[in-house]
Amino acid sequence: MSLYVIAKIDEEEYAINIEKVQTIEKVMPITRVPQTESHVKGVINLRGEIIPVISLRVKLGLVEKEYDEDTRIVVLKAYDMLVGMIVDNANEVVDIAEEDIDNLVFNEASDEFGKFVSKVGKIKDKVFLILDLKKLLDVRV
Amino acid sequence: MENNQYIDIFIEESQEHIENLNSNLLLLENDPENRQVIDEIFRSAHTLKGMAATMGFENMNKLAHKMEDVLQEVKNGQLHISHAIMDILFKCVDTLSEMLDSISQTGEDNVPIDELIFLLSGVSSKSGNKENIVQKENDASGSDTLLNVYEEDIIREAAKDNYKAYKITVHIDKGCVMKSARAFIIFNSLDEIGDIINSSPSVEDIEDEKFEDSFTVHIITKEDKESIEKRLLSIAEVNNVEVELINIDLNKEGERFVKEVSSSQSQSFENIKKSQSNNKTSKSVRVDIDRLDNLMNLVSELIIIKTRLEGLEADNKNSETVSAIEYLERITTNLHDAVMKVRMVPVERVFNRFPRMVRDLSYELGKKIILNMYGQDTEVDRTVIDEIGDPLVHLIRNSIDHGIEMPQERWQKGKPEQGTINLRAYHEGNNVIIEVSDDGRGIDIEKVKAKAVEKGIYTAEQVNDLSKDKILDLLFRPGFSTADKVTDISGRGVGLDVVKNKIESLNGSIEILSEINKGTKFIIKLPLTLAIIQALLVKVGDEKFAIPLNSISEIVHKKEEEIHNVQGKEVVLFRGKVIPIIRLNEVLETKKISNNGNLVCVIIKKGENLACCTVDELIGQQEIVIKPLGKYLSNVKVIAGATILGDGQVALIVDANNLF
Repeated sequence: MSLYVIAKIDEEEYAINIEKVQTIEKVMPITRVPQTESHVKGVINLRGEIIPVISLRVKLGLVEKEYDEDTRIVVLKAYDMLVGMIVDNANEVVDIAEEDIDNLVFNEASDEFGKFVSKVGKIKDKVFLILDLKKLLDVRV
Repeated sequence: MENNQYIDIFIEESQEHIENLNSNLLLLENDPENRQVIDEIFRSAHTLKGMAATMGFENMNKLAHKMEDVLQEVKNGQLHISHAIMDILFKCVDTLSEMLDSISQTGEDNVPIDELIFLLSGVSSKSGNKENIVQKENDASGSDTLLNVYEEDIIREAAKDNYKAYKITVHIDKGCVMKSARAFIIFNSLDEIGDIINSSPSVEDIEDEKFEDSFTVHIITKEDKESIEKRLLSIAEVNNVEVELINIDLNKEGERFVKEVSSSQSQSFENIKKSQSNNKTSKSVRVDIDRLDNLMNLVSELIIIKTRLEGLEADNKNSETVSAIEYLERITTNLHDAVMKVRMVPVERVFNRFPRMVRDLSYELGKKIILNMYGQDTEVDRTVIDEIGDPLVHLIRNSIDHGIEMPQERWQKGKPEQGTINLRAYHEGNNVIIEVSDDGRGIDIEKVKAKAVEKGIYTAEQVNDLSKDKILDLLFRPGFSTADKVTDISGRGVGLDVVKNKIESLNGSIEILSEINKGTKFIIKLPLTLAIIQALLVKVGDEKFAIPLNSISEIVHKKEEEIHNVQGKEVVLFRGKVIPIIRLNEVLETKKISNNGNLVCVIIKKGENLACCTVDELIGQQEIVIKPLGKYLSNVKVIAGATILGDGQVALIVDANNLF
């Protein structure tokens, strides 16, 4: 059994292994950084630490949405990096059993989800797309 | 591995022992009879052995063990320190250090040690061999061909099987076009009849054609002298061959090489001794640098909050609050100073590797050099320490290779045969100064001038009007080398421009002073810390940015109509010079704000070059804490980092070096 943080974009639910999540924050002022890709929203001051922030919506190829009460920055700690990820909502933690996780084969060229999801987990009849942080954070190894 | 939690401690402590071994071996070389130093070396090797065994690093354990055996014999007086032994011991230390690198990277100590173990067994009297050095004169090249104990051992072993050892000097025709190819054929045909033990110059050098028209090899073979000569003379373009039978004198005392070198280097060793005796046994704690960085972050956060409270103070007339805030201010300032001090490290950490380097290079080049070091206890922030090593290595190599003359030449000039290199560190205001000076041949201004003309940088007339400083500055240009030939020591296409770039990237500066036949001095000026800098805060569009003050030359106002277009590029006239305009709102992709035709220009400098950056508003000068953007954004070129302003806002720091 492992715990997963559930991040929402529209009605889709993405799961991130809780070990990779440093903290979840409400939206705070973001300082834009020039000469970066469109999914990079800028940097934030998280208690004295400068952390880059990306938009999961843009990364997934979706249209931007105004930030609201529910918008959250999920600060990921993975591959030697701290990166904040803006999602529509993140206030749930679920426990997915190892045997309920399946590998997925997406057609990467045609399916935007396939670029960042390689596994899917289920609890009863609910399905969670498990984010592949290596792909999401452009880790090249 | 279960020992994982100890690996960091192991690496750190081994590092210390290896450094210790290095400096003590240098002392021993100078003073071979010093029991105390031998004991110290023995202890370090012994401790390393124990630690490696505990951690399960077999190779390291084995090597340290073998070293310990040899050192034990030295301690017991069964073995005398000789050049050969010193060389092997130094090699062992190098290998141990290599192992440690490998352990910290891969967790394995997979470094080949068989040869070293063999060499160590060779010197050890337990295996029945007396340390011997056979030295034969090599009249062809004038340099000495030395058989080390290892090679000598081979000859002795081979003799049991009726092999004979010969020293062969081959002279190739002066007109030979492809000397290395010819040498290759000769090597091949010698390989057919026996085994080549060594060659002078080395095989690598021969392959690179780094020899005149003769070379010497040692070979073991069953063939006799005449047939070798005949065989070699049958190869085309071989003019002459000298074959000499080698007899190893088993009773010959190992040569005491040390005296000569020692006198010339004694001063440097005095320095090491001094620095060692100065080691205070103070109470201290080892702290992980990450924790210190974290502490530093928290302190800068505190300073930011303090600034915000000061802003609120104005609205609050309550005297209790006012005095509390003043108290807080005093404490945060002191706390900041204290944290900065904790991060300070003596430059000794960098300097320590130089005595060994100077020793090795002076042997290699046959020069006699004293290295004096002063101000090793001068303290600099960790961030600076980590960066200055490479530039200093380069400058010292430069001095040894190009600066200091050969003993003969120095003697003819009426200078002492041994050259001196002084390495000096001291504080000056908020900077640390590091000087590298030598008493060598100095820089030939005329030669630099000629080179500048040859390269088309200046015309012959222009060059004569230049000041000496300007001419010396030319040496920092990329690809500008006055060396007649590129040697192994310096050169390799890496020039002083790399040193200068590195130092400038640390917000420092470098200058040269030189006088012909008196010597050269490089003066490096570095800020005490890189974490905090003075910056100019500006507004571009409606965003705030910081520009480091040391890359700003001045601030001027220009009118839109003063801008000219030259080949599609915007330029402006500044003090009679045409300099490019950089529209920061374009580079930084900010909103464009109407300026009514008036431009606020920040003139930034990169070395000699200037550029004019347009900004929308000047906010003011401020001390800022630099924070990196992190690995994810590491490829953003125009931004050098970020800082947090008093109100908690993040302002990006513009990297002036990457703007043009």
